[in-house]
Amino acid sequence: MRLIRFRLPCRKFMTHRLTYNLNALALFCLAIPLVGALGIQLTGDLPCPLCLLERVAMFSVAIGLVLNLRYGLKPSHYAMSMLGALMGLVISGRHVLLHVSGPPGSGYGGAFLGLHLYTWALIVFFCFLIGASVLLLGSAQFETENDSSPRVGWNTSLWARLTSYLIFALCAINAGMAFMECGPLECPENPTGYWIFGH
Amino acid sequence: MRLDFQEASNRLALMRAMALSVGEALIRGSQGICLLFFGSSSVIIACENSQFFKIIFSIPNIRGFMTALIFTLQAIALALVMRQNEGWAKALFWLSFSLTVAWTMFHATDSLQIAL
Repeated sequence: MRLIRFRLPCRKFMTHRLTYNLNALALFCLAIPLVGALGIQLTGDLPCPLCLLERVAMFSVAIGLVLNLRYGLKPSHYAMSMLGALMGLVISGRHVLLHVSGPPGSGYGGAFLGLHLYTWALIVFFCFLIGASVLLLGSAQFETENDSSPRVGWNTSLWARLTSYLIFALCAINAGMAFMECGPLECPENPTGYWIFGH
Repeated sequence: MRLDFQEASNRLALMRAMALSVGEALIRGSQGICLLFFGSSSVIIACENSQFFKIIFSIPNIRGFMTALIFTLQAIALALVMRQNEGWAKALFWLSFSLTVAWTMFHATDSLQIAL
């Protein structure tokens, strides 16, 4: 007796075009907290060493997504992003645990919508891991020869290119700002000024 | 009783193959256990005695500089991705990733020592 092949509905639903655009959207969503964190830093609230590591983890996630947008969707690119998110989850989880036992309002830095930035980072990494796992369920995105949806790629998607350039600019700015803050010395646990300006 | 040489040799070959696969599985399993044991022991020793990390990270006091370095490596990796140099981009990604993991471990062991 021939068995009837059962396929998950999301397998066909997740076309190459849809997943490519979802990757670009995820990259854009990742740029929002990075721009916000940089804005907060420019107002004088300097990031601690763990805050900087959370940003590093966000850029690790972003590199996997940019690889997907530039070279096409591959499971290995998703794996790189997911490892970055896992690392970020560990770092932000540790950051939350460091402050969770203190009295209310004793966390590091200001709060946004009632939550500190490291708590938001924890939520972002968790959501990304869930989202990437769901995206990986759709294997149709990797079978390009059977996909009849219109092709989308780096050269045709201005949205993907702009977001990638934005992420690159943010990464370069963060490199400069981190050096300005810490210099060649150890980053202080509670920084009050930039090393380059003599603080 | 008539001895069927063909059947006997088939059975012998089968037994030999089974013995070999069991032996191979045992060797590979013990290798894996040894690797796991020594790997985890060295990580535990390294974590318990954070002097190991202190020596590495205090050479020219690179702890602060390392954050800027990791960001720079990531920025170069992103630039290489867009310039279609996938191999180097991935190599830089893994380098920055390893440095971040090492940095985090150092941070964790430092605090662990304070806590203990």
